[in-house]
Amino acid sequence: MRRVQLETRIQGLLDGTLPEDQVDALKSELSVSEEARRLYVQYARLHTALQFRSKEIQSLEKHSAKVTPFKKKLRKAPIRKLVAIAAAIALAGVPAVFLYGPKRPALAVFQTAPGTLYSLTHTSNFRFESDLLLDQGSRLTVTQGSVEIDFTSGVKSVLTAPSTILLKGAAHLYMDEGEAWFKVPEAARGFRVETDEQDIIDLGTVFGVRATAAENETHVIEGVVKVTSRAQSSAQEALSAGEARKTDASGNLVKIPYDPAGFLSALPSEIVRYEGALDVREGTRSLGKGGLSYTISRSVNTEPNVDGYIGELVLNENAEQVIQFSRPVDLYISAPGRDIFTPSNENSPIWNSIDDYGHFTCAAEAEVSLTDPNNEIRLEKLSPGRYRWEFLSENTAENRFASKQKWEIKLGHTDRFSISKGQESQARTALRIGVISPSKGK
Amino acid sequence: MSSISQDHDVRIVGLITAHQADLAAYINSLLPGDSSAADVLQRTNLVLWKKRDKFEIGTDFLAWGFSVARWEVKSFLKEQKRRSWLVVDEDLTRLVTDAAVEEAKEMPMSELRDALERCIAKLKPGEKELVTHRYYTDETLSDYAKNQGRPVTSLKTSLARIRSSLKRCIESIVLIESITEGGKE
Repeated sequence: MRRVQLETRIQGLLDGTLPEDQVDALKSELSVSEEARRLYVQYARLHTALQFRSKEIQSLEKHSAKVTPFKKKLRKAPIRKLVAIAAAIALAGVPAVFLYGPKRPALAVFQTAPGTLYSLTHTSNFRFESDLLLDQGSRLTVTQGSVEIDFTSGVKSVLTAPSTILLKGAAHLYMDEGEAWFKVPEAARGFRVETDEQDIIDLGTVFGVRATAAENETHVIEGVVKVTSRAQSSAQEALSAGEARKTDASGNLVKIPYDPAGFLSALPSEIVRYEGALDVREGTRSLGKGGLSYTISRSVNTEPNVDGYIGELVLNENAEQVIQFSRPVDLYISAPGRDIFTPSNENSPIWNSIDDYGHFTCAAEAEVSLTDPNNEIRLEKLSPGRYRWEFLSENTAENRFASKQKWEIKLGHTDRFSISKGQESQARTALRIGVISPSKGK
Repeated sequence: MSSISQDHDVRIVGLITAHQADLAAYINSLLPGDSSAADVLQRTNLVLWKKRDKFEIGTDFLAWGFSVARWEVKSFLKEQKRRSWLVVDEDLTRLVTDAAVEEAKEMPMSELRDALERCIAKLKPGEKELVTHRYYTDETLSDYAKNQGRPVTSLKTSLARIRSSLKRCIESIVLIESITEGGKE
C-alpha cells in the first residue's frame, strides 16, 4: 500500500469513516508492516492530542464565560472524566484538595446513566474546571435519563428525568421538579430538600421525593424524615419507614400509598426501555425512568388522553399534532381498544370512516408499514417521510366502533411524528399511540 | 489511612493524571473511530484507582495502564455485544500495543502536545478553527459533518490534509530539538 493511501485510510479509520471494504486491507497491512503500525499509532496519538486540546479550549471558554450553560447528548456510559477519580479519592479519604483545587472541594460530583441529556449552569463564583461538578448555586436540569449525585458530605442521590435541582448549600437542595432518591448517612443528618410545596429534613435515612406541577410527595424508605408543608407550617410530620405524604391543594399533608419501587436507587447500565402508551398532551415529558424524553409542541383541535386513557387521541377537523422525540423510537398507531363516547344508539357512532383523511410525517428514513386485515385504511406515500391517510369504511357501516378495528400503522425508527386532519374531514378520528424506546430498528 | 498509603495514593493519582493522554491515545488506537473511547478511558481510570495497591511505585506505569486499558476495551465491547476487528485479533492487538508503548516512551504526549500547539499556530485561521471544533465533542466525523451540515467527504479531505501537515510539523520540531539538545550535551 502506498504511503499516502495508508495515511488516508488510517485517518479514515480513526475518524470512523473508512468504508468496510477498505478496513480489511488496512488490517492486513497493519499485520505485516511495522512501519504501518507505527504510523497508525502516531495518528492515533495526534488524534487524541487534538481531542484533548479542544476539550481544554472548551473548558477555558466555559470558565471565562462564568455562567456556564451546556448540554451533553446521549452519553453512552455512566462515568466520565477525572471526576470519577476525584469521587473515588474523596471517598477513600485522600485530601480532595489534590484534584479539586487549592481552597475546598466542590460540593458534589455527578455521573450520568447512558443516554442521559442534561444542562448545567453555575454562578459566577464557580471555579472548578470539570463538567461534572456541582457547587453552591449550580442548577442541574435532567431532561432525559438519570444522574447520580455524590455529595462530599456522603449523601448520595439518584435523580430521574425530567428533573431540575438547585444546589443551595452543602446540605441543602431545592428541587423545582423531578423524582429523586436520597441516602443520607448518619454524619450528614439534617440534609434538607425543598420542593415548591414541601420542606423535607432528613433525620438519618433513605427517602424519595417526587415533585411535579400537580403534586409533591415524600416517601420514607428507611429511618425518619421530617416533612413540613410550605403553605402551612403547622402541617408538619415526622415520617417513618413505609410512610408517604403528599401536599393537597390547601397545603395539608395527606397520606398516600407508599411507593419505594417508584424511585431509582442506582444508575441503570443501559438506556431504560419503555414500551407502552404515549401521553399525548402538549408539553415535554419523560418515559421509562427518564429513558426517553419527547415534546409535543403543537396540539390543535385534538382531544388528548380521552377520559384519562393515556395514548388515546381524538382528531377533530383541521386537527394537528406535532411530536419530537429525543431519540428514534418505534411508534404504533392503531384504533383505541375501547369505544370512546359510545352513545346509547350503538349504530350511530362512526369512527374512522370515509370522511376521515389527512397527512402524517415522520423521519424520511423511517420504516412505515401497515397491518390492515379488514382494508380499513389507505396509506399513500407522498414523499420520503410524508404520507396521506384515509379511512375507507362507509360511515353507514355497522359496528364502526373504534374497538372493532384491526388496522395498525408502524413507524419504525423515527424521531418525529406529526399528524394532521383535513379541513373538510368532519368525522372524528380516534387513535391510540404507543411507543417503543429505544427503537428496535437500525 | 496511614501517611505511607496516602502518599502512595497521591503518587498514583499523579501518574494517572500525567498519563491520561497516553492512555486515551492507546484506547483510541484499539477503538478507532468509536465515540465510546472516552468512556472506556474513565472505566480504565477507575480500575487503575481501585487496583492501586497492586502497583508498585517505580515500576512501569504505562505497561500496567495499557494492560488495564486493553482489558477494559475488551470487557466494554463484550458488554455492548460489539466486536472490533482489531481487538478480536489478539496478535494484531499485541503488535499495536508494542508500537504504542514504544511511541509513548519515545515521545511522551506532553512533548507531542507542546509541539502540536506550535504547529497549530502556523495553520490558516480556517484550518485552525476546523481542527479545533471537530474535536469539541467525542462524536464521529460523520456525526460531526451531519451536525455541521457539511458533506463528510469535504471535511474528511480537509482534515486529512491538515493532520498530515501537523504530523510532519511535529516530527520536524521534535527532530530539531533532539539535534539541538544533542549538540548541547
